Amino acid sequence: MESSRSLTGAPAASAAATRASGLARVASAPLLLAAAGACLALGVLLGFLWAPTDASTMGFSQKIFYFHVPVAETALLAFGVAFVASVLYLRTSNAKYDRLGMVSVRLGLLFSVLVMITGMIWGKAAWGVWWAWEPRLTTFLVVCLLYAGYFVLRSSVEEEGRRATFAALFAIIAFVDVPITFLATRLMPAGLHPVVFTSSGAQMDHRDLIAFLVSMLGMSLLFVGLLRVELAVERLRDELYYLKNRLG
Amino acid sequence: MPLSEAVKYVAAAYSIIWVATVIYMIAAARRVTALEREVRLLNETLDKREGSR
Repeated sequence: MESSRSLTGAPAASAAATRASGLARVASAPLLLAAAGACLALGVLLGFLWAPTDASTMGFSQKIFYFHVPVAETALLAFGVAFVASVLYLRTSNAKYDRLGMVSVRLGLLFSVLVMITGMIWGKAAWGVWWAWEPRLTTFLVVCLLYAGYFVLRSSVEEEGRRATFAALFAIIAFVDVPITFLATRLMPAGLHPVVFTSSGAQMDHRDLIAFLVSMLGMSLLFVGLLRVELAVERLRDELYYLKNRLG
Repeated sequence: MPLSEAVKYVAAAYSIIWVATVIYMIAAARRVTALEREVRLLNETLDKREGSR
């Protein structure tokens, strides 16, 4: 198997620099993760103690909104990052974009699984069913299955250059479903999901909106923090592979 | 849905996200630590080998 180091064309002497860069990424991650935790905790407090309880049929279960929707938006953001990284990889063949794409899909998938689980819980509380074949749920399930396929594809191609190219192509094609999922409630309004953000603004109390935005910021910071940790892990794996090769 | 019932669903949803995130972060931190240790050991081995030549 070809080393990813040869893909980047990085000289052998850069191992220490690679490690330093990887450690620097990890070192900055705790700050990001702490900020994320603070924002998420503040979002929960605002959502539970300040924002009004929904007066419609959802009632108290609407509180799931402050985490469920930010997790969903962050999952789609992660797939967006993977899309951009994949385009950049195909243009430059630089392995760092392949790593960024892979790590983004991994985190996007993690967030997607959390969306599906919390969505099912919310569905049971609000609609009385764990699952409904309605546009938003169905398109999101397709997103999850597509990006799970991304890792099946990666594990089935041995040679690194081909694997990275195929994975980048797959991530670009899979991304087609992301805007469809995002717009599903607008394109097919007959579904169970309400349209909250319309052209005339957010259809919610300003306190709900603030709690949501704080949680959204927290979830985005969490994604960036985890992304940095995962990229550092991948760099360390590359360095390990290189060192083992040198030792024979 | 009565409040007492809704609270269970809300608690379950929030718990799953917090617990999953914390577990993921712990696992990632452990992976980083293990990889750093292995890289350090290999670097030391390499230094010794090159020093003995």
